[in-house]
Amino acid sequence: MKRSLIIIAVTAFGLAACGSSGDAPEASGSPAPGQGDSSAPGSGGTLRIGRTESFDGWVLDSAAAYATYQTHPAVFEPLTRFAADGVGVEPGLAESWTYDDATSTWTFVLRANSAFSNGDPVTSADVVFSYGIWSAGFNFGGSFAQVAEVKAVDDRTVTFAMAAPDSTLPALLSGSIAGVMPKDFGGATEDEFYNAPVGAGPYMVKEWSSSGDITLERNPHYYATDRPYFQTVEYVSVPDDNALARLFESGELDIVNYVSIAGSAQYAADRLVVTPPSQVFHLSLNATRAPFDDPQVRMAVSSAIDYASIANGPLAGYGTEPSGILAPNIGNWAPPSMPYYATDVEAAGASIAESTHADGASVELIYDAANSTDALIAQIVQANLAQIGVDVTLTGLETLAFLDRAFTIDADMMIWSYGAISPDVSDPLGWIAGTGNLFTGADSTVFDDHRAAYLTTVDPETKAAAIVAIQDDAIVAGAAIALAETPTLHAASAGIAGFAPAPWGLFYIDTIRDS
Amino acid sequence: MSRFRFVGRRLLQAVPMLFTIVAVVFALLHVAPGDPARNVAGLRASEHEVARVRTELGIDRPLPEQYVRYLGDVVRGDLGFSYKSREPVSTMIGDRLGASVWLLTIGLLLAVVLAVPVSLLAARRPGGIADYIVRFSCQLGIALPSFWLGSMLLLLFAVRLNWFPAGGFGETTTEHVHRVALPAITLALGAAPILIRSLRAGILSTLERDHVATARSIGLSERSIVRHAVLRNAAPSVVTLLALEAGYLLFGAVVIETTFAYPGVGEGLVQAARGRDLPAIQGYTLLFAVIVVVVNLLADVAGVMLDPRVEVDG
Repeated sequence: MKRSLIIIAVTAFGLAACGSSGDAPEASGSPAPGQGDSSAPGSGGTLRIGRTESFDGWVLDSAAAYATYQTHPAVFEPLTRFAADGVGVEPGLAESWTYDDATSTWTFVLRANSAFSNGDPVTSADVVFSYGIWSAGFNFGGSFAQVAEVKAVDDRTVTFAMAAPDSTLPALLSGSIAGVMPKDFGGATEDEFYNAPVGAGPYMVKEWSSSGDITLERNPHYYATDRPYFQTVEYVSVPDDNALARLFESGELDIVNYVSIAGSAQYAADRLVVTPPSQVFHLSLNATRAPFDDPQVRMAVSSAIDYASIANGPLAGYGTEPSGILAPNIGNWAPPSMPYYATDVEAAGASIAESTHADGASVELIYDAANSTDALIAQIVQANLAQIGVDVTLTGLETLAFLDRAFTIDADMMIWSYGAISPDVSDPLGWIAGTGNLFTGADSTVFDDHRAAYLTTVDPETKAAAIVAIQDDAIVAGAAIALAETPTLHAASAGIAGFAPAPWGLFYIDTIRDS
Repeated sequence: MSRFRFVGRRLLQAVPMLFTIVAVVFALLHVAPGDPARNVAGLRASEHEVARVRTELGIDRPLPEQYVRYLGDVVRGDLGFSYKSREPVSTMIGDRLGASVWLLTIGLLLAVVLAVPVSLLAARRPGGIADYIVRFSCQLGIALPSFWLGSMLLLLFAVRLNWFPAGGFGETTTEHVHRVALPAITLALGAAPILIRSLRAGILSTLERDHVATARSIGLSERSIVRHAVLRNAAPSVVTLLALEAGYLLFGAVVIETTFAYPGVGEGLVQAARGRDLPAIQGYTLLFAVIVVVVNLLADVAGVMLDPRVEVDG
């Protein structure tokens, strides 16, 4: 009996192992047999993309995970697309657009051959309907506050009348939050539509689940004849960093969409795609109460921080010392006119001695315990502030509890990071405005004025001056302190080409081809 | 008391247990700090909009009222909708359940297939070299964490040798077998040591009993004695042990599924927790608890059916 059991076990193991030759997934990034060179337009093959985040579904306004921002445009193409440099804007469903200074109105002309994946042409009525959905969204509806009215002029022409002079709408419309969908959901109910979405992007949904496992097929009605290159795109969601790295290492994935800095060591250096710095880690001080209602204490904190240690330690050398509070490498970003904070413990000591808390203070620093990098940064901050007599209690919180306290500006200090999801600095400005001045509760009157000046002018110099003023004011106020700037990281196999993430991390999958 | 009445009574006893579990799951997640409405409305939503979502979700209602509504829904089989994707939680669980059933079934089978001959080998000569090796291996197996063992198997068989895929469940039966192999082996290697130790002890104790001595004295072969006298007697205790291990295996599967990127309910629970998807977390937790209760119930029933000596009056 013993021998037969061993034979059965060995045979089962062997059969299972042998399955790898007969049933192995087709080589990642390679074309399906008989479909020729997949670098040619309209060829085949499957592109496999892995990520740790789950998927928030197809409701554009519900996007919270970068994985979702990344996926939506593949199905719901917007009117415009961000350029490969992540700063410029290129035609999407709209082939051209013009701006009328006199009436502050944008006019977009749709491509004659743009069509939804069900074959119906994309019309201006679809854009008007989609705008109604975008602007009604709880989450991103406020991003469209500058739009006064959207009108269909004819089947292919749609106008966006702005409430004030504007130069940011084309960039805003390139974001995943502005995907175009058929009028009245193509006759389906809202729930039916979001369960089986129809868009005019390069791909259409074949299968999806909230787990994040999604299969997309090429949209045969896509306007571009040279894209997309892959017939099928499979997104695989794997919650564990290590398991994701193993999948990539074993050749089952072509791309890992967002590699965490903590997990980056698991990838071969030549497989990592590192963007320029585009995320900002920040320490937000609660300016509404003691001790951080005193600008001198805030100045002391900004001088006590060891920026180099943060950049090289928890951020594993991917961090760079900050240049300002605004996430960099985004369209119309400008640096402050004055030097950013530098580590100077003596100056920090002098500032605290002149403050209302010369004898020191005890404060609480909260962070998202799910983020190991934030936890490490918090420990450095704690050690730094101990040098000037500020006793920091670290509180790592479950994410929802952290968000609760962050948004109610309930803690003395908090650590978080932010970046952008569209190619204009108006995006991070919107984030700062919507978060109580980056969770500091500091008076935002001046910030709001500068932001309004930026949003309501078409003059490049006025825009640049507004951004510089915002950067400078943040340094003077010292309520939100940038700790480091970081890039976004992805991993890509040697078998693909055309993978070009914008500096702020997002990329188009329809430009990716087999190399 | 007849065996049918015993089964009926055990079923009735399970009902309040399940209600208690529903209450505990609901309470644990609702007393935890954090506002799910912020998660649903989005980070850029205003406080006013977050409040609207709170009302829409009904989470601004008093806790007892929320509980009664939740309980009513659960009794009707409605586990609610995912806060993340609007998908019914029951559908989310259903999509993943098959993969986990494959993993647990094959993992358990492998564990039993491994445990029976190994424990017999060890019990044949207690204190001998084979027994020593088996006991040492069992200690090692219990001490090794499954995520480490799984990672090593992954690195060797999936990454280096490329014999197995590094994750997923596949579409066809062949793919399922191929992809479940490494996670199931990991699960089995984690579960087998306790089974082996228990079976070894059971076999040794049975071998000393009178009926075995009688069987020997009438000239039955050792193979026949083992098959008909020893293993048959050990079977009920193995079934009970397997039921006790079901909980361990189920929660072990959370780690193993995550390690192997295996899309079962364990990985679903981790993903729901990472996404702070409260209804999904409740659904998965409830499922796990119900499975443990049901498996233990079945083990009790099987124990009664398999061993006529078991008293059913108590």
